[in-house]
Amino acid sequence: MSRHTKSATSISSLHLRLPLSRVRERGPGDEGPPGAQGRFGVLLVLTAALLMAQPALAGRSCEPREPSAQEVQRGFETGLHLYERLSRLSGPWGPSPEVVLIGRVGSDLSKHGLRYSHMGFAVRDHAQGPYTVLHLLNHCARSTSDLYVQGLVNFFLDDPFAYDTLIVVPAPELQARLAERLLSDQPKRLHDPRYNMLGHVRSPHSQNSNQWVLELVASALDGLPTSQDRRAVQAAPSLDHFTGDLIPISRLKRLGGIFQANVDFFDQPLKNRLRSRYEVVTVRAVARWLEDLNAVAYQEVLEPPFAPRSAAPR
Amino acid sequence: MRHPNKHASRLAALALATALCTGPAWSAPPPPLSEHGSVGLSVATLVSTTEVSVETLTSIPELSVTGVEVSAAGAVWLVTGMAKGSGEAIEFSVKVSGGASMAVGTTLEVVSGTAGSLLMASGQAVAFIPNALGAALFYSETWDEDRERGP
Repeated sequence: MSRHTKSATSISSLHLRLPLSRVRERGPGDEGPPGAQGRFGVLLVLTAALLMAQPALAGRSCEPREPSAQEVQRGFETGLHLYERLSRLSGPWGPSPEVVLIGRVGSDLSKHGLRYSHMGFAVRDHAQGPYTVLHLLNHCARSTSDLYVQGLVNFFLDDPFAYDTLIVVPAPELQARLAERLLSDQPKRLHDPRYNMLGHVRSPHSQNSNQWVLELVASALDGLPTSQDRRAVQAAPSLDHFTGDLIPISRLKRLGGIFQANVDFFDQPLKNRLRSRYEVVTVRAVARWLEDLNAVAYQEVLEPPFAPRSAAPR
Repeated sequence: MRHPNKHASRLAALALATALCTGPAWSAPPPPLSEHGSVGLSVATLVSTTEVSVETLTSIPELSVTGVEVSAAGAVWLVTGMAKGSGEAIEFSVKVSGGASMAVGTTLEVVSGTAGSLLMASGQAVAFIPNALGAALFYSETWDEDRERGP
């Protein structure tokens, strides 16, 4: 499988230098060598690509923006609302779940029939505080990520598109296994800082937020040793049952995406690239996989504690 | 000798480049299917603290700014308000970590919710004071920072 070995930024720089240096070498009226008209066409197209890619490089969804105090208030109210729900969510696991998977609506994915864009764990008995969130976040407009330990409030302070929350309560035995693992060093061991928004379940080269969650759950489900590395966990038997969501991305959009540091189409199998349909580890796919394995004890959508900001389809 | 198709080829390339530049499909990157995070850094500048209890704060519908002290760490607003019912004037300070400018004499409306109180000036929210539970659920560290700090 061919792969990018350069970041998107370096690719664009390469395109910038190469064609423009050729332009300067040619004088007015110089027809150039045979085939020059082809290169001229390539030059125009690459220049167009470069021009249009600039906003993407700057990070379209990462524009620095001061949040409003209302957004802060909504983040606090949603975090508090979720805390109150989780701390009283009794069931076969006891008066409150030890570990839950939570999904937020970070962006509007309704065009793809998706609602929740990002998933993390909430751990009840964490030293930082009740229901501490452990999750993977992409550094804005860069090809890297880090693991974060945050309060429930902070989970909703990244300017989400909407404030409803998906709560997935794993089966009690899985909760116990996850709690043990999430407090160990395994989460860090399974983290690959090379971030790809279009994370493919079998790719050993990159990881998106939901993929990190998936791999940790798979390791717990199959009772793999916590000392195992990511590659070993990706061969977990339970992952044989995982199917990502197929996301169509047109070739034109793909060209725009090439210049985004956090998107790597070449991490997808060739057949997906040829069909322009990319199999991605999404929140919905992780929840569906757990359900198929009978590993979900309870699931609900927690509505926001105030009137919703958007009426996007679920 | 000029190739007869050369100009046509260039025009076609130019047209394609123009079309690509103007087409919204080209300029739009794929949607974010997983996420970045600002991890609440800028948000922290709006989160404020005060020495009065949440109960006291929620009993005051309106505050007046009587003093402003700005430092490198943020600002302290001295405010005064009348508690509902008692008619008693209460003076206290609000510490804000951000650089929001505030003028003496500004009237602040207090809007209280389940997670704390929002301070509004001329319809614009200028600070949020979380209650104890809200504040307990507000923290952010990387995994490495959390491990270095220990339990």
